[in-house]
Amino acid sequence: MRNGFVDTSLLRTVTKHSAITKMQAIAIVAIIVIAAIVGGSYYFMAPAPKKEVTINIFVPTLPELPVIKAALPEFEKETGIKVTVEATEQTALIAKAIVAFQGKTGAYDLVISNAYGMGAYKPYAEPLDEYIQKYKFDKTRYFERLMNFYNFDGKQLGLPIIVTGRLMFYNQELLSKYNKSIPKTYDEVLQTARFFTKKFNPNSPTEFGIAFGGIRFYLDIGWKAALWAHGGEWSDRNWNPKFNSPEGVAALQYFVDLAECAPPGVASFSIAEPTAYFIEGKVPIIEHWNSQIFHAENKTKSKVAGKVVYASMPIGPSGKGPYNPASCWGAIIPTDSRHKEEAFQLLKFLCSEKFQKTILLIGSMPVMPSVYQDPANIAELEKKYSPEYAKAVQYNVELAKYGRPFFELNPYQPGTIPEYMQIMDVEAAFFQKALGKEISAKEACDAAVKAVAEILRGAGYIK
Amino acid sequence: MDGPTTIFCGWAFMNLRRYEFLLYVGPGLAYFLSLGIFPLLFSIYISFHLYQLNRPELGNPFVGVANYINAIRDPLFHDALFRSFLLTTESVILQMLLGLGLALLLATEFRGCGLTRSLLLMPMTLTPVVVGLLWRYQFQPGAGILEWIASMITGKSFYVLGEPQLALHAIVLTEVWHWTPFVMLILLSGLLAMPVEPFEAAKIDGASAIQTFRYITFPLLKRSFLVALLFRTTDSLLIFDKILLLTEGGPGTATQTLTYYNFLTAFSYWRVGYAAAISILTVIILNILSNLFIRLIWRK
Repeated sequence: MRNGFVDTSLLRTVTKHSAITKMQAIAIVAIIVIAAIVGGSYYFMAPAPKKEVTINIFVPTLPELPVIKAALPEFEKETGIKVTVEATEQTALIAKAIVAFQGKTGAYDLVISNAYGMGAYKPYAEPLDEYIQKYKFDKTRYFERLMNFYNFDGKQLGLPIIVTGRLMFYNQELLSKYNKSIPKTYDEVLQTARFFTKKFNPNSPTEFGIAFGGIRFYLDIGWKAALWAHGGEWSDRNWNPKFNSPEGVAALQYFVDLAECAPPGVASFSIAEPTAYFIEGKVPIIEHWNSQIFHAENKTKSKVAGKVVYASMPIGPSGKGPYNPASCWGAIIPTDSRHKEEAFQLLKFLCSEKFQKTILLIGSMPVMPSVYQDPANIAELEKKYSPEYAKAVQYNVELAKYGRPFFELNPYQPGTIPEYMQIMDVEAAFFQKALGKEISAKEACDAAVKAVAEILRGAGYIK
Repeated sequence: MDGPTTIFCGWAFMNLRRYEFLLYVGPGLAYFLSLGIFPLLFSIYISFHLYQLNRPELGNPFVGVANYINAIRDPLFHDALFRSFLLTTESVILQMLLGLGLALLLATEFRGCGLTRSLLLMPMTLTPVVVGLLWRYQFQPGAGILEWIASMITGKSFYVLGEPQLALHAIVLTEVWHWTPFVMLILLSGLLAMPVEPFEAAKIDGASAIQTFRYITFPLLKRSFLVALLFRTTDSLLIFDKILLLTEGGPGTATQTLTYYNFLTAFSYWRVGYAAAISILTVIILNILSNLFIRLIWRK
């Protein structure tokens, strides 16, 4: 008997002989159900062990991550609280964390993130004011500006841990050799970059004059500093975007011109590429994060260690600025955390003078001014690295005090908004098109203004 | 109730008692419903609601077809859809042509045939992440051999992934390298399963190689060809991992395909309701295409 391609008589025979009885089937199902009930009851009803609390922290893969991990045993010893660390790349971290918060999973007790992510984190962050009082945490010991990045409607939703911001790196040796002074204005940066680019100066000692992060996020940050320095603002008081102004277009044109002095593919450069070009001595100028000072001064890897001058972002044509785009790494305690007290204790530990000093001595940038002011710390830093390095690191004090948050859109309403990431991504996609010469700087700014206005309108900021 | 039940199982009808049927099929069915059907239904549900993770205070009100209308009006969605079709068309045509050529070459026995087949299948065994990283290095100025060849020819150094006009084609290249062996494998199995009689008859009748291919090989290979086409078209339309690793949708929006835009909308912009609407539209597009291919496959 054939049906289609298979002789089913054989199948039926096999089925008949191997068929189980009704009772056997009921018994199997009953065993599975009982096992599930017993297992579930044990999981949900068994009292949690009270002696040891374990908190889960979610951390981006920062250069400082090893030192955070290394400090945890000391915290565990001091408090008896166990800590488990989950680390991932920053963008993935925000995505994963928000989904976990939304599902009220309680998966994380402390999340370290850049302040720009606070727009998205805000609805899920536990106000810390009660803990600040209870644990006598002195907020005045920290850079006020950074502390405010985490303050929303008078509530402290997080605490800063590490300063981050962008500045200019110049290969002093190369510049001096060709009688070039450290550029002060945007125009001087462009002229110096052109001087060191073979395309514009066949006698240039380097093929390219500058490198910078051209991916959407970094391009947007750099452009915003240029926008401010050129005298422009992103929006007016009522959130109407106005960066397609002559100032905004000039700021973008600066990057379009600068891209011609940069290595191929600058539009896809992130963190590693500009640093690699610079420490290899292949470009004399980079615009980069302060954290890259550590790589630039690493004598085992950098050909320019001890030869670098770190400076503010340039000033604009009318003398405005400099505006160093600044932010910081800090931490929040999610509202769904099951161990908020313990998480705050860890946060306090990460902000403690002792840990902040550790941060400084590994070449990173603490958020506590007194750590920079302590001559013993500076002497130790000079001894460990070099006097130039110690001086460069101290530059971060200026960054923390005067840097302008790159996530700020409306100058009249400082701080970030939940739509910041979308706005940044959409506008920067147009800027990248200008960088690739697909459209002009003016067209890019016009299209970006139109697109972000639509987002702001959809979110109810403008009518 | 528990009398014998005739069920259709693949190509065979089997007489099973109902409880046996539930016991055998139940776990698989439960798995499929919970992990396959439920997420799809939930996606459909949230695509009709405001679901914004960065604004939980807004709640999740029903918004009707607003998310779908927004998608249809969204120029970024149009761009991404167009780019996905462009990438799919280009990469699938190349994969099918190269796959067919390789399959025809490898269908004949020659010395080292087995080794050649194994080597050619290697790219297919790599995960997309590994392929992405491998090609990222290949395109890196001063590191990759392709970039070196290109710079030798053009006399200047350039970074393909940073060029808006070239980046999408570079991704096509990685897709073709990765998946041509898959097409080759399917077509090769089709070729090796062909009856020899029509070929012998054609030989006796004095048919040329081209005539044999046109009137015998290709018609007999058509179903395998369409199956490969179906798999590669749906897969290429859904490409995501390589874009994330190679370009992150840039420069500009030059490589921002439908799935990458969908990802950004959901996990960077937090507009999950809107992203769900885009997903459902993608599913509809894929279903139309798949049905078209399946009809062609089964057409006599």
